[in-house]
Amino acid sequence: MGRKGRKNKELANNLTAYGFMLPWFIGFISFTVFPVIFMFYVSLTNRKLNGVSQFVGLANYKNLIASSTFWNSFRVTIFFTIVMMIITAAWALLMAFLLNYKQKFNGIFQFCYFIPSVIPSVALAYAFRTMFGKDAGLFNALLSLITGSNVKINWLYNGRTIYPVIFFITLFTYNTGQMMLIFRSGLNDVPAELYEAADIDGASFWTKFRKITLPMISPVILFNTVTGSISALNGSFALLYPLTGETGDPNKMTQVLSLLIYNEAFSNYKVGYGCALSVVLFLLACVFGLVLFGLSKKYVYYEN
Amino acid sequence: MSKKAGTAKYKKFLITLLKIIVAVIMFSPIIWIISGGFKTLTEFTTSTRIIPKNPTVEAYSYIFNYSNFFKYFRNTVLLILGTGVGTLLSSSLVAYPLARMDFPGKNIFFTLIIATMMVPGIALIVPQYIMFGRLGWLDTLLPMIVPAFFAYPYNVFLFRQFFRSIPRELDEAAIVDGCTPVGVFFRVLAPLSKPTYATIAILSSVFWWNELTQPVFYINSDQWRTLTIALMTSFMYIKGNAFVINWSTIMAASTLMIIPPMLLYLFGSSYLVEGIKTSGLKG
Repeated sequence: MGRKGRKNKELANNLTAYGFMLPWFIGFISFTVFPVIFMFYVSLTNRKLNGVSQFVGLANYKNLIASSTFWNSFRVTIFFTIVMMIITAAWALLMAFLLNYKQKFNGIFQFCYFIPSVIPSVALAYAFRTMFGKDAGLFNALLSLITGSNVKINWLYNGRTIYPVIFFITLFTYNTGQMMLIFRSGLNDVPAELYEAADIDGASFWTKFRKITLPMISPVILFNTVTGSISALNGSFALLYPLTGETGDPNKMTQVLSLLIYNEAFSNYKVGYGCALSVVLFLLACVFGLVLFGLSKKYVYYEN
Repeated sequence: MSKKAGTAKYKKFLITLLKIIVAVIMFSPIIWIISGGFKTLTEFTTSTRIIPKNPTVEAYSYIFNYSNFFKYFRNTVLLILGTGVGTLLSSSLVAYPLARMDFPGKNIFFTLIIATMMVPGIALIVPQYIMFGRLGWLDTLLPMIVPAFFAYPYNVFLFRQFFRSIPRELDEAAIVDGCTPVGVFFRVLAPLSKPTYATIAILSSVFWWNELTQPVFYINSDQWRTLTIALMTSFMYIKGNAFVINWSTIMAASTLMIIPPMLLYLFGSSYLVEGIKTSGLKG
């Protein structure tokens, strides 16, 4: 084959590849790149939900910086994301540990552990709204049974109980189930000889966990926690919207940025301001994404 | 020796106990939902009994006879079918050159795909809402179905991972036999990847069955409500009374909504579990 022939073949090959990728090119431009640019533009206007719009420069950002509601949401979002990431990862690791301890009925245990993560979050939210209800709530009933007095805590409307309850509920989300499965295979990949050698030395459970398990599965932990933070940013809406409403009861304590965006754009009709908030959320996600990229390049093993 | 056997037994007992406690905690909301669906509203709001005192199918009869349940169910199924067909077709096409071919820009495109996976959809939903409004797509399923035909980065990534696990010798043999790269995809990779298509179809169905956020933003009227939205609206209040939440109906409807994912797990757990694992593991 001549040089020209090879060149033609290469061109044909490249065109085929681009042809296959065409759906993604179109989708990427229309549903990601364009909305991002458009979002930055709308954030510089006072656009209302009915479409009326005027260029206002950085006014939305000035209002945003001056707004205590925004700073509250900003703090709540970061707090929520980080704590949810840690708690769900720890719980997923515990469940993976228990499931990897092989015994009878393991299939039933995995079913119970995993099913909550694949049912609609809105159904879970309503279940927990009533389980943590003041009257006829399961948790108050259990506490009453244990303490012998009539417990009437309004878990979801009490500033002191809301965070523990919300974080407890995040144990039941898709993210936890996914992490549990990933941890299970991560734990299975730890060579058994390492444990056997440690057993001979008479190492305790905690020593083995700290000195063998943790270092061996650290790439998996890292990957899980950071992807977990992305899904916390994204998934919190579907959990919190039916649970504590767009105003983030009690007293905006659970109003993450996504709820505030919905509230401003659709209840207050301030779409321009909603876009400015979206820009903040977008940049926040970029920061988390860059951290993931940076860390995974360094620590996570990629097969190639 | 006997002391060691004793500790082992003790340890086994402790782990089993912990396993059972965790199982009870994780399964408790599901029991609560199922039990609530068979209670009257009065019993639900006054008692925490798991076995209802006077079990009733009132809530179910309301859902099936007096609500638009079948319409919401149809909408959810249409959503699942539309997005499923779209993403299986487009994502597998896009994944093929990324998994198998060499061409300029491949690494940049793949990096962009991973990068878009990191962008939470909720950050772009307001500009997309305006965009779909201009197209006249609001209050239909189109804002969710049409993008599926243009490859979801997440599913592209999954297909790529699975394609890479198929031995490359098979492509090479086909090319020696005179197959073009297009032929390799349609005659070799796609037929060999049936389990992959099934896995992604299942993952995508579970996602859209559960999806609340996008319908909340895009759907307004009763006509195109999905089951998840209906749970927050139609099933929520007693007819003619917007102040009393109809918890029994919500629990009964929730029961109906948790049955399909449970069945899917029971009958397709290998697809579901493998798919979810692959989506997170091995970059």
